[in-house]
Amino acid sequence: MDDQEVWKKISQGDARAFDTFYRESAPRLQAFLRQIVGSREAAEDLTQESYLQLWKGPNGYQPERGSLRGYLYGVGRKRAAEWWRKRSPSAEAAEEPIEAGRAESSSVMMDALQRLPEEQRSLLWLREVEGQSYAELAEILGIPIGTVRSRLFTAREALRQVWQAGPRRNQ
Amino acid sequence: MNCNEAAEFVSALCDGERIPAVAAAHVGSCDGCQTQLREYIALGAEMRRAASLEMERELKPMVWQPKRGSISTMWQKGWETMRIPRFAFAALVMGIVALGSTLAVVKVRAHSEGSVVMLAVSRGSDEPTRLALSTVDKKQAQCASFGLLEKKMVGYQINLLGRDGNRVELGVKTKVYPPPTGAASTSYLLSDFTPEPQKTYWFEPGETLRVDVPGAGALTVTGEWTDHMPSFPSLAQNQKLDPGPNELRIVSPLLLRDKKVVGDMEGGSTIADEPEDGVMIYFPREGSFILSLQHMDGAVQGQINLNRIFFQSDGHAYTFLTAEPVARSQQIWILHNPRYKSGKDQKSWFITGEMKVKDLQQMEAAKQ
Repeated sequence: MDDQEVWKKISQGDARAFDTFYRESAPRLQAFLRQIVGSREAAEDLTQESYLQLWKGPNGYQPERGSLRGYLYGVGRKRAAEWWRKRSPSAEAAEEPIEAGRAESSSVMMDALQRLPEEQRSLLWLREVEGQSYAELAEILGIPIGTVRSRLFTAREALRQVWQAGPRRNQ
Repeated sequence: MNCNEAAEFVSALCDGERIPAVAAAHVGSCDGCQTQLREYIALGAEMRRAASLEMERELKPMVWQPKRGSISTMWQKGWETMRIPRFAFAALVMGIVALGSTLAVVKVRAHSEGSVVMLAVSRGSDEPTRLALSTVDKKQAQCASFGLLEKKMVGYQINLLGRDGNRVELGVKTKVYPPPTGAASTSYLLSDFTPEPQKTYWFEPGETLRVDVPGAGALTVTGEWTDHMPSFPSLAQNQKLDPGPNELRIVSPLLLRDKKVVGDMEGGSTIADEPEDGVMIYFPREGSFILSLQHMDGAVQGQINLNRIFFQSDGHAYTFLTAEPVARSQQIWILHNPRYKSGKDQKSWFITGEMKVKDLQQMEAAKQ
């Protein structure tokens, strides 16, 4: 089913179709959110909240503005930012990279990503893992499309520096 | 072009983008840029590999509950006019415990002894509002609701006029209100329907009825027979007793001030389930209470313990005792305004549907 079909069924309250969509797509959103919040449990909760938001208010998605999955990544990212704000004494704290070793990850790459600021992590993940286009990245992250290329470069370069500086180990 | 100038284009190549010829020529002849390109590509591949491991993790199973009636619903009268069944409060609490974790409505087949029609009234793509009408008890044969239809605030009142076999005759009155902005959203009264003309329809549960609302659109009515009048028709069928995330559930609240009962909202209920939403409750002589699970400026913090909310305000100890668990959270914020008086009818309690806290505060401020 394409996005339009899925969305139509969701709008009609088709719980079975929505559950299928959830099972197919939620693991990806959950993995993405885990990179933002650094906690598996919080990522699970945020994923559920994001899907609940779509289930209860499908009209929040506007097909002309991008894919349904892209919309969910935007919702999830906003909820993650909210999560950080509640958790941190100030909003600025959410923009800081997560402290080394703070995230629950055993992967060297995941650890390296955690050393980047949230926007760079999100940008790289959505581009490299999710294959989102420049236009979708601009929509999800709320940045001008003209700056996506330069920010991706900055993020890649930052990751390369961290990767080269950090310890590498086999998993 | 030098390496610094070409660096961004190296990154763009990883994204499948075309780059200017001058940049392409430099990258093709520069060992440093080609190393950089290979490293970017390798990092991307490593990210996808690591991500693949992350995505193998188990997903929490979810149950997608039928959608509930939506926000803008607001009742302004007590049960005598709202037609919510009356029964002993203690019996309600005990009944819920006996039922376990769900509240169920028993459906019955057509031509059976069903005496109650459960209607689901849909306003376009919105979630349907559930209303129940009795064919045997005239006191329970009228319902009304208010909500947004095609961005216009509408109210409708449905009267069950009679029954012929499996069909029922419905009398429907509708009213279109000005858009719900600020103070204009504060008063929706059942008496508003009195001067409105009533249109009659024959409706057979199982079929779909379209009710035109001139100037606003159309309501879609579906329904089914049930064997009894549900305790709270507006709540979802098979609703879990355990509140969902962000859910603030106020069902049939009793208000105690310093251990004395000062308000009894028997039958009134609302569920708010968005983080920024709240509920406003009004009791004559006690004023208004805006309740939210999120902090509100000027609000007192209360404590939730299952179906009880404890808080101090205005030098008194208050308790809301409700028929169901209130929320997952143990903290709640309450804005109490003892001077608030409702608009047209100050003698009746009311409870709003779920609304944004800021809208509730505007609504309250408009009545100062």
